[in-house]
Amino acid sequence: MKIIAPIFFELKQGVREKTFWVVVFFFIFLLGVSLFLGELSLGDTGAVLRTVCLSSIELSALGLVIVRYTYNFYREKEFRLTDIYLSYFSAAHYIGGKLGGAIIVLFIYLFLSGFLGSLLLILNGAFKSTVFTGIYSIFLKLCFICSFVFLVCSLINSPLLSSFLVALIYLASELSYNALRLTSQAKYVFIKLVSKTLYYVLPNYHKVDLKIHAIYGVPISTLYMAEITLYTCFYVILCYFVTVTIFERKDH
Amino acid sequence: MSVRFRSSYLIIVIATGGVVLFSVILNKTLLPRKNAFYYIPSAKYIKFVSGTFYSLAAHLLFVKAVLDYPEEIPHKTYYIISLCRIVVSLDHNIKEAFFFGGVVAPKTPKEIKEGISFLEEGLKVFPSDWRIPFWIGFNYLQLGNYSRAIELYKYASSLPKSPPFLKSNLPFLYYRAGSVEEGVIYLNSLLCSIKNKHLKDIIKKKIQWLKDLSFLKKKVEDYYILYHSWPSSLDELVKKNLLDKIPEDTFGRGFYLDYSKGKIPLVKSRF
Repeated sequence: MKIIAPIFFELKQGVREKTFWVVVFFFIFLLGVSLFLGELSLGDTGAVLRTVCLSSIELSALGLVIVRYTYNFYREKEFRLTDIYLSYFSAAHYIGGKLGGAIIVLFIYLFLSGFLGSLLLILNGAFKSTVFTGIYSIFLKLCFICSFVFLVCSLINSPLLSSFLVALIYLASELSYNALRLTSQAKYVFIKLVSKTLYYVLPNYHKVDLKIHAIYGVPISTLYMAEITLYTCFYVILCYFVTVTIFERKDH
Repeated sequence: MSVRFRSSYLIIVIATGGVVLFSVILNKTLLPRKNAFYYIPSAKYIKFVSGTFYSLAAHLLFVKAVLDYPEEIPHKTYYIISLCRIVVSLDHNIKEAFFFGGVVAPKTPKEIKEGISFLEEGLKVFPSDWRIPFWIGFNYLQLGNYSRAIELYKYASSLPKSPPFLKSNLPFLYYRAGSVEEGVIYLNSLLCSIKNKHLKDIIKKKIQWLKDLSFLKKKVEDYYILYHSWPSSLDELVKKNLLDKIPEDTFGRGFYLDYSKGKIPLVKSRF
């Protein structure tokens, strides 16, 4: 299959770059901070450690996805690597390769940070097996962001604007449910309609996020896990096809 | 070495010296203390902007409450309880926030009452957690309301996973509430439901202690009936042959008569 080669290139490039390892060291620093916070919190140090560990994993991985993938996309365009790729692969294979490679690099990062985080939790007697459920939900959340990165980069010519827009999409997805609850009290039907549309268009993070269950050791049913995985797959596939359409129409 | 390189090297050395010197000077310079700004954020806004990170936000606010506790803050208890209220509204699983805001922070009777009302909110969220009624009972103990403390300790001891000391400390509470006879009746009925032999033995000893207090109280009343005056000490009861000997105080350092509350003495135990 022709798509395997661009996935492999993206993966190889992803784990060799400095950005990847800078984020890993930043994550280790955040783990250190979590230890101090655990000491300052009275009583349930375990819950604090798990909370900060999972939040650190998510935020550091988000930084990796937004900074690395956005700037890499534009750098390849600048050094005409994109043209070289497009002479061997179709736009669909190129975008598919980049997206697939990005998701695999994300998985590797989450595996590494999950391993380090779990080690810290085990050493402090705060580990629960539901932490892996939390990390998996973070992986699903960031798969959405990976697909948005390439969609936005295909639309916009500025790397700074693209990374800013992707960060805003992440924030909007985090807050969409709260915004929906707020606007349900609005007087005008138009506001309720816009808010509801945005809610269904953006990824529903409050359904996919399982951090709170991971922190307090609440098990999740296999059916629910399958549902959120399928939801993520459908959303990523949709973004992929939209990205390929935009990419093909733009003058590359 | 070129002239340009030598001058850059010299500037680096001078600048490093300047940085170190000013660092030392600034350490010795006394600046007026900045007024800290103790802001209580709105729980609704934090909930809105924290998204799926609301548990992290709750834990960070709890750490802030713990760090601000030793500071000199105007209306400190109100500030700590408000922060703890926000913590539990964001993540109600942080039970330690109820303990910190409801038990640790309040100091004066007025603040303890505020702590009690905060803990009662926790009781609605965690009706089967023995710790919350125990903490409320502890607050009532501090207020000197022993009857209410007894009710809450009894309720806490009936909840799952409650520790044995909640049952074994009830005799002391009945003694402090001045309801010795009531305590004996309740504890005798409680004995039937206790299976643990060690706990049973402790409660039996405490029941005997309460019975001794009740017995001495009756003997003091008998002395008054006979001699129309109250005895100055328990030894007088022995001298007047109302008692063979003063019973041994198994938990305190001896029984005595306390005249501090008025003309009528109370039989007390020295702790």
